[in-house]
Amino acid sequence: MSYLELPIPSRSEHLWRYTPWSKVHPTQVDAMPEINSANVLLNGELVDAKTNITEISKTDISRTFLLESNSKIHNITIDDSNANSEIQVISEGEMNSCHFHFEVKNSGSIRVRLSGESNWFGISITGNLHGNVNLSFAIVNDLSENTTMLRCEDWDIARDSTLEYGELSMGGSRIKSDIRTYLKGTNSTLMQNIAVNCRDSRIDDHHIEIHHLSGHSNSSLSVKSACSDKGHAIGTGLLVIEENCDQSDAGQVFKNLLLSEKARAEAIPELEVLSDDVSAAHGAASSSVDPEQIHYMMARGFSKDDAQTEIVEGFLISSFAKIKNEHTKAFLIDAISTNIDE
Amino acid sequence: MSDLILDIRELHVSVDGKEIIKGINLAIKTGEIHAIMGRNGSGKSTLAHVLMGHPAYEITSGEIFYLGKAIEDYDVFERARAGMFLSFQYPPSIPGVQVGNFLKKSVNNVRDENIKAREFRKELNNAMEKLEMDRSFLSRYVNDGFSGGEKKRLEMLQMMLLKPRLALLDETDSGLDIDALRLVAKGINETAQNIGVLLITHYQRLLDLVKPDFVHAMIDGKFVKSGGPELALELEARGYDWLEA
Repeated sequence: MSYLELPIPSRSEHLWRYTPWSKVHPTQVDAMPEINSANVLLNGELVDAKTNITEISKTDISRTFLLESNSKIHNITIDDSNANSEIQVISEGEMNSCHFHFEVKNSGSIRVRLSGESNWFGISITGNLHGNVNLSFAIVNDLSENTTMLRCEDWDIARDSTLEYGELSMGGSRIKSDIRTYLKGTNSTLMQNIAVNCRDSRIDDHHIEIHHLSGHSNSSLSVKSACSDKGHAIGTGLLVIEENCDQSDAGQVFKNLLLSEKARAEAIPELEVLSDDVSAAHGAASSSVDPEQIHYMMARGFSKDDAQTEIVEGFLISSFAKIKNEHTKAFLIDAISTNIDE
Repeated sequence: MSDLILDIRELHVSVDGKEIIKGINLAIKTGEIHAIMGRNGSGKSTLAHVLMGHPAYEITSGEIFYLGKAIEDYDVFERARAGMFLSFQYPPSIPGVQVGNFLKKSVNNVRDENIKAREFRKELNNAMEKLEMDRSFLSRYVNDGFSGGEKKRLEMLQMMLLKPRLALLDETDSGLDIDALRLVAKGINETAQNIGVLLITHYQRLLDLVKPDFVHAMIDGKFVKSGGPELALELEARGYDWLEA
């Protein structure tokens, strides 16, 4: 079905409960605009998306819209000749979008930074991890404060492979992210760590699905959101362990730090477990900064504001404590420090 | 110039409307170590926290002078920058804040001098060596996952680097094994020579390693007896009941 044939999703759907489709469509929901490609620098060089997507099989409205409105895609292979990719996406003008497909044949790393000042930005990422590879992936959203972003990601992980995933989301005014990972092979592993900083009136809505499709598969998801001013963070998770996926191990934790009376946060993890012999846990917590932490730091000469800034920065940085790839970790932590100091 | 560092006059303190400190007088001069001993709930830690300006405690009457100035209106960070140091009984963890960065920023906050990076590293290495701390401490998050002994050693490391004029040590010895206690005492003795120290403890064993000039027995928010180091031995031997009679 094409975008215009698809029904507009209802807010009763888990995915659209907090951010209706009309808020993330760049124009009117009954319009199908043509959207130009954002500028993409791959390892420092400007590159064009050369391939046209010829077949759109998605039934999901976000993915269909993104692919129909701009059919150019960057295909990037991680293999012996290209183990590490640094990608910078710069979105300018009224509206921009881009698509990436990563074919991961060997172990490596990918670091993506999103920047620019367009009013609307869309991005879709698909990744296919072949058997027995480790990919360390990081994405930093550093878009301007006026940008609305629609983002979809779909990752397939084959047998004995690991996706180490880090995300820092701090740019844009309204963000809708829909990230889905499919653990398709035995001993496939996802370690997903997401830090969100909502300042001013920024709204950041993350929907994260993890599907265990094979036994002995492992996933861990940590989402930490700091909300100040009128910032609003939303995290909806869906963890699915399908039938015949025994010995799978999955955990999801959402933690929110609320820094003002008007800041809001929602964390709604959901579980669907269809196998018997699995370990699956989820949790969510919201709190303000611990006054004893503030007191301790003030007793070391930090002003109250500086103490709070350090604690919030630390809270976000601690999201990435388990990331093993030092380049990935440094990329994410440096971006936090730069953002907090601004 | 007077060598009086801390002068507490008839101090009364309440928490949530309940009086905890009920009239304390205390003067600490440069080079003096004062030990306060008492049962749980006698008000020892309250005194340390109120001196450092914890917002939960209300001074209902009396005055605190630090280096000749009344400090009731000083915020916590202003007291720290003026040279007051509190070693916490239960230091909180600060996830994501690395010890090395925290120490550097604390030193920059508290010490007047503009310490250069190389000089800071030299001081840091020297202090860590004395406290037998591994360099890997520096990349860990502040108190996050630390054992009791590691937390207390980090408190001592901070004290050595911040070079306070007055150190308030709140049960710095609690929960330590004998090796950790020896290292903590080393840190105190290293720093105590030219400053004032108020040392709060339950146990004589720390006072075997750190010699106090004065010992104060505290019961129900008051000093009921003050004396020299021999008082600590007497309290260890006889407990506190005899002081209540």
